[in-house]
Amino acid sequence: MPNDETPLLRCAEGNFILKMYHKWIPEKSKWKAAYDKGLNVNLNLNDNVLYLGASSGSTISFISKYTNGIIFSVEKSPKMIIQLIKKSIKIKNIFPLFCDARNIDYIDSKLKNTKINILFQDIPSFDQVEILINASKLIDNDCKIFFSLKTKSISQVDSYDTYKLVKEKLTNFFEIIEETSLEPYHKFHWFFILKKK
Amino acid sequence: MNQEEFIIEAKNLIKRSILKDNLIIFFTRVLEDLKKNENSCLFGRIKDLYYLINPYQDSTKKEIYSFFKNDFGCNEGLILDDEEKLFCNVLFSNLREDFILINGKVMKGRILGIIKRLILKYFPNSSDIVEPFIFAKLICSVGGVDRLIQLPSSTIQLIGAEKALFRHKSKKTNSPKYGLLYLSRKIQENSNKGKAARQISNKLFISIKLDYYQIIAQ
Repeated sequence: MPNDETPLLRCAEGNFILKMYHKWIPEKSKWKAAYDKGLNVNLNLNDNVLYLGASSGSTISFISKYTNGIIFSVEKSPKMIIQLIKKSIKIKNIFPLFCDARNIDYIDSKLKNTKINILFQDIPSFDQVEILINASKLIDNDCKIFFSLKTKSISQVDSYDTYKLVKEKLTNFFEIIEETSLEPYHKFHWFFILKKK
Repeated sequence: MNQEEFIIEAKNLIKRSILKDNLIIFFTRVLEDLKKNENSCLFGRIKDLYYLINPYQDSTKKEIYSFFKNDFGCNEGLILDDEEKLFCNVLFSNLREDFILINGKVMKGRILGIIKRLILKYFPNSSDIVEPFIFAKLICSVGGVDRLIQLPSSTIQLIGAEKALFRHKSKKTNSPKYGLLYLSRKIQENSNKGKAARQISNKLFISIKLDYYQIIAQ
């Protein structure tokens, strides 16, 4: 992955003011926060990404620079996906999908057996782990899984306890390669890099 | 794979998900603004409505004003009937360029009439149980009908009394019995107000679902 100093958006190349505004900030993106924390979240040139919980597409607009593959971005809220569609008209490898991330059948019909290299999940919901386990049916065993966990959306009790509980659940289905807390950038968040067993 | 197919399908699904209750929310919020101050600037409210009708455009203040002043069409987002366009024209014919109404006092009564007609059209079952304006306030405070149908009847009873509810939980004061439903005439005339509020919220719980699945979702 390139350094911070490289121009981040294609349209922003050579424009100093745009470069300043479109900086990839770890406080706003969990992918970048994990990268700054020292995890191996790098992309290859032809990787296809399935991004669950795309929101307005601020992270996706940066990721799209580093791959030539397709980024399938799933989002449920209509207000957010309108902004994502605006971005996808400009950037050609963002494919928006307006559906619930729990609805695997619909996503599977849209993927049409394309091989996915990276699955990213960032849905702050109480059944966050179940969504990931469900979505892992769409991918092969060699696919990387990036999972950002928001403990406070699962329970309001001590966040370290919920982190332990989630970790136990994950070990039944996945092999944990790397993990950290995203503490200075995002409070009560953890980041996992997983692989299917 | 073609990207355009994905975008077109997403746009069609978004079009279906933007419901008519957004128009009711718009008018009730305008009315609440006017009750606070008759000369309040309505640019923020009107901008929200504009982006519901044209979600994929970036427009300036002047373009938004000229869009509503002329006969506007709607394709991509919220689609309005001829009747609903008439309701909008009532508001926008009295609007100045700085988004302040010319005659705020008179417009309050007119907007209240518009809300009543919209709710009688889209919520015929629930408007029998509570007054139309109170029901519009219920939708407004939750943020949409699709959220309101997910709530249990005990929560519907206490919408608008959140402050008292959390005070009860933290400081162990008496629990609230009614929220926005207290404004309804059926509760105010009844001697046992807590019981009446519970009965009305139970009835609303059923009628909202009837209206949503029979009329609005289709």
